[in-house]
Amino acid sequence: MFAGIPGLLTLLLALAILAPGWTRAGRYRPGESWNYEPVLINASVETDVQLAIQATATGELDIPDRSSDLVITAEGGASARW
Amino acid sequence: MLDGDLIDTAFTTIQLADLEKALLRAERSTGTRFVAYVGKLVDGRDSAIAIHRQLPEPNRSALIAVDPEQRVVEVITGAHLREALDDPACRLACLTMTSRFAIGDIAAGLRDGVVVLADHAREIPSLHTNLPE
Repeated sequence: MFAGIPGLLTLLLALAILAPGWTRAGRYRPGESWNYEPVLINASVETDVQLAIQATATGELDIPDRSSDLVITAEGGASARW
Repeated sequence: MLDGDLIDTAFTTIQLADLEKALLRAERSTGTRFVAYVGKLVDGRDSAIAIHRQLPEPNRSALIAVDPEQRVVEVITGAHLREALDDPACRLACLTMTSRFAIGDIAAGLRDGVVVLADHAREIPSLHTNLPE
């Protein structure tokens, strides 16, 4: 009993500390390679990321414009590195 | 629409739900569609622009694209949105995000960036629905 209970408590404590690190999701660390699938949040289901990426890779940036009657003149925004 | 719940992402379900909530809240308060992308940007900003042009209404949408491997974040705003959400506001959002990204917290950085963008975006008036005062 004197060895079992402290041992069990130690085991539970170790599990509580280490278990979150064992889960796959959310464990990205800076500097690691990014081996996850691309994720697009709050977009339309028709949005094709692969098509867009292929279009830039082959130099065909002017992929079909979905806005039909609207003409895109120039995008704005900003870039940053960390 | 949450596109990442059935694929192997670096985010937990809770992180994805939080992000989606922040994006929808920003959309509701500004009338602008905010979309986040996390993944490879092979050609940097050009790739981000290509993804932005795939959105249903690119001229009225904003895209935050993050490539964690290249450590790059790109904010793309549609042509009609530039007046409502100017480039200095986008730079401020980028700074906010990169401070979080530097410690590896991509999800929190994105969420903070969306909040900054939504705070700075003004609602674009729709002339056919807004009555003159």
